[in-house]
Amino acid sequence: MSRRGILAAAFLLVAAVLFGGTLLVWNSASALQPSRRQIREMLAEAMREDLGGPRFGRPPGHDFYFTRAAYTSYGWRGWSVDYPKADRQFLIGLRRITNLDSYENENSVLLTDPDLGRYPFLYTVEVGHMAMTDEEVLALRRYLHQGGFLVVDDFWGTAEWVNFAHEMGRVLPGRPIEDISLDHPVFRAFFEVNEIVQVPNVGQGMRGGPTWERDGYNPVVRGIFDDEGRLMVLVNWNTDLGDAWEWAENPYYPLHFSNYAYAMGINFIIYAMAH
Amino acid sequence: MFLSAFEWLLGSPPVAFERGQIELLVPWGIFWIAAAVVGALVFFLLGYRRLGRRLEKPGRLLLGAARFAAIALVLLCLFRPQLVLSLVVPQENVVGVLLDDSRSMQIADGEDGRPRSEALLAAFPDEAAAGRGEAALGDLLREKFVTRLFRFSEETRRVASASELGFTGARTDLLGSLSRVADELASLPVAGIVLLSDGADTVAGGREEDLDQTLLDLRTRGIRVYPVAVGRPEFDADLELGAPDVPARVLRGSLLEIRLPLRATGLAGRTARVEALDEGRIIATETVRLSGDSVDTAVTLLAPAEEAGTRRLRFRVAPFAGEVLTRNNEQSVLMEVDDRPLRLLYFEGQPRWELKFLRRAVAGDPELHVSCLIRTAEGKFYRVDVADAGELAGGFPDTREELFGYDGVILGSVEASFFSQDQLNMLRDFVSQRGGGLLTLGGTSAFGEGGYRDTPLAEVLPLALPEESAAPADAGDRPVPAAFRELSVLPTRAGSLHPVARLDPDPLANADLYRNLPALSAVNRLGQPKPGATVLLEGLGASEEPEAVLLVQRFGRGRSASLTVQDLWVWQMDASIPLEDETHEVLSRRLLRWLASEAPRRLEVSAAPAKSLVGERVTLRARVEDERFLAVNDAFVEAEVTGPDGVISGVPLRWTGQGDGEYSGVYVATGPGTHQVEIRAGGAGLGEESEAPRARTLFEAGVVDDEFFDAEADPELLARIAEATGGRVFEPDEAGELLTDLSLAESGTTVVERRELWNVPAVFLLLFGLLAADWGVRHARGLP
Repeated sequence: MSRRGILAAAFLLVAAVLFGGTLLVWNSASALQPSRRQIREMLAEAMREDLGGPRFGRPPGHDFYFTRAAYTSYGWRGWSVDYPKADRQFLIGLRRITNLDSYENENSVLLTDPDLGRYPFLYTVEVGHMAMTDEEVLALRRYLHQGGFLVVDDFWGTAEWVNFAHEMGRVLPGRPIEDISLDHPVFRAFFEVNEIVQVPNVGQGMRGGPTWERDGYNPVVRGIFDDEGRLMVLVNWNTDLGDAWEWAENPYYPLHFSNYAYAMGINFIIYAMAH
Repeated sequence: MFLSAFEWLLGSPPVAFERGQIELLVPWGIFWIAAAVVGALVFFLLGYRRLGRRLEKPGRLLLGAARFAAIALVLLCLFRPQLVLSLVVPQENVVGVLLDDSRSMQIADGEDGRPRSEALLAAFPDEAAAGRGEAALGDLLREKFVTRLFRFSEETRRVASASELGFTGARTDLLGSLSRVADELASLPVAGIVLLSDGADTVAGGREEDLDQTLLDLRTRGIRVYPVAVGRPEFDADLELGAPDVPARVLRGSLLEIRLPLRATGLAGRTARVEALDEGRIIATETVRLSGDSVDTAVTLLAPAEEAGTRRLRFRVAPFAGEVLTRNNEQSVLMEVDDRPLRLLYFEGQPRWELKFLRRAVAGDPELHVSCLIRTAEGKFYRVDVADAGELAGGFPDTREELFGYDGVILGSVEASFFSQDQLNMLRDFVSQRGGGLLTLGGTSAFGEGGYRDTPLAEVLPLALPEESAAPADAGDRPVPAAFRELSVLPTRAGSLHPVARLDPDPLANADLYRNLPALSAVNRLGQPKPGATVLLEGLGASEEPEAVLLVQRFGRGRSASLTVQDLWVWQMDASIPLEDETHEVLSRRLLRWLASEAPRRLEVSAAPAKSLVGERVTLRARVEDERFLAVNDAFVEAEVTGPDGVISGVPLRWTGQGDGEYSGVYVATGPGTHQVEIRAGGAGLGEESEAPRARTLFEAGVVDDEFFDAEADPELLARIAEATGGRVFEPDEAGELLTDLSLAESGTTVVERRELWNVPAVFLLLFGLLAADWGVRHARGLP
């Protein structure tokens, strides 16, 4: 064998080993992580089988209704992302962990609904695409001044922040959105939360991909306070607590994100019901 | 007229027959009397028999009776009946004369607007004026008796003549004066005491025992009291404000409920506007229509207590034209406005919006501090607004010291089985013994649904819990309660007048305010309000009968309230409520203040009388309790009295020995003005020196104007005094009768006088009448 032949054979051998190894690693990894296609199917299946769409007409008499604020938005993203599975999944945990007398199903209410005030806790998502009408702005302003509490979740990056900040500027003009430090009582209302964790969306969470979306690299908890220093709006930016609740029962979704999201959600509610 | 006719016919006035004894002075022995009676009887029967055949029965009877009576009367006269009297010896006996020198004698309710004092001075004129016109009582008395004159008001003093009276006494101590004069005359022959007064006693008022004792004492000494009543028992037109019912201490910012008694006579159809003033500023008004000629009512004023410190509240009604007395149109009272916050504990068995909104409602009230404890999961608690890291760290208090440190407790939706039996008993004692307030709220685990029916707390609740209450709520699954109902809430009549539920002084406007509020919801099945409870708010649901929504009652030393709905917060959050609406805040604050503001402290003090005379004894009383609110009898208690001149004097208070934890001491005010009293207690069980309980109170010296209140003459009291001592009440113009009465005294130096009765005109007229009747019948029947 010529010297050239030996080099070629060695090269082929190395290449084969490398290729085989890569294949092996790839295959073993794909055995743990679902593919994008698998995830899509799983989501669709979950939506189909156990939800049957959102329910309206809540029975009265409960102390607490986990209520989504339905607002006007542009684009396909809006208030109903992850609705209602996230809500129901969260309520299962809320009812098991605390002794709150909570209605077991989701509850959504238009910001302009005359009954809005009957639900002093509101949860809403995807506010990066929020485009409230003037009526909605007035209703939300009144609600917050009367003592209502709004939790905002699942919006990412600078562009969405700018949109949200603009919308909040319409609702509560002149009120800054401030960072809430970890020593704020909201982080100890039920569970002790000592760090702000970035909770990824379900796809990235299951695949072990990056936790951020767009340019939202750092999770932040911020708030808007009233004149007496009481928290009115609690903002979770660059994080998606809703997905962590929604997929808490899925073995592919990392448990520690769900645990954290439950702790945060329960703290928000207990805090809102006491302050 | 009757009296003089009586005296002419029988030779002596009726009182002589009342006091004296009738005796028969028989000159012959009993044999002759018997013989005379038998003889008369024989004579009579013979005459009667002879008559029998010639006359029908009625005529026979009439004739027989007339003749029998005539014979009996003649016989009686033969036995010489006599009236035996004991008469005072002239100038040998003393008459004590008590002259009312109090200010109420200045009241001009006599004829032509003459003051009462004028009648008194007319009865006892000066020497110079004597002898003019009709004989005055004083002159008549002096003719027959040795008179001793005394003036009396709050004290009694001997005077030489009535001209020494100034009618400026601040009080009338009728009974005290009577017994002092009786004491002074004890060694002398006393014919009686003449009492010139309007009878408006301002000291003994209501002290029945004292009255009875004094009168019994006079009676056993044989001293008759002859009151001469001056003044009129009822004024033509007068309005009088009574003593206002104001707590001695009130929390700053509270709405004060003042009950002001109001009495009016002769002002029918008029309208009285009652004003309450705090240092010259009108803080409340109320209009009363005087419906009848005689109105006796009470006005309820709701006034805010805005500034801390000692406040003088004045109440007044502008005088009406023609009012006899205008001084009684005003009242004043001292009050301490306190700015020490009330401490309340709010315990929720589960997170509820009620807590959040209640906290927000009271957040602006510096006088209310509500520590919140929420059970967020089994065995897990969330504390909010606690004073320090130690407060409620162990969950719901399980010692009396910890629980009794609060003035009020709010129980939310928490089942009875959460508490130990000790804790339930402690909660009951918290209200009944410590005097705290308990507010129970409706909820899925409250009232009967919370299993309270057979617990000690059921006693405390202002409503009954029905037997068929659902089983206690299960911690796991909570279906929608079957009893869920929506209720439109309206104030009751009592609620419209109560400081908690009265949002507008006008009852109609108040009802409208509630009518515009959204309906609330309730989930508990409830029984009837207890007999002692007051329903302030009621709700109308699907059923026809309204049900109680807010009700209150006293329980032992404390207060109990139940708010049966579970979502008062809707009145804050509903879309129909304007943003600036304060209904929820005002109602919540008032309810909590009312609940806890009367909770006694470990040291409670009072000064009596709150309005004293200069030089009068003011009794300072204190009640001392330890940290568990148990009475302490071996404490060191001292009062510091700061007079209006800034001079501080110490007064030790000693255990009275009569009630547990009760101490008293006496202070005598040396000058007029407001006196501040600060009392502190120390000793075992009362904590460190710095934490020793302190308390303040006040009293005012030298401003007594009792004489102008309840100032109508009181002839009933005078009549009672006369009756109990054997005397009689006279009018000022009955001097002669009074003298006669006095002359017939049984006490003092007396002589016995016998008055024949056979020769009085009445006997002659009677005999003449009987014989005339006898003759008339015979003549008419043609008899001989």
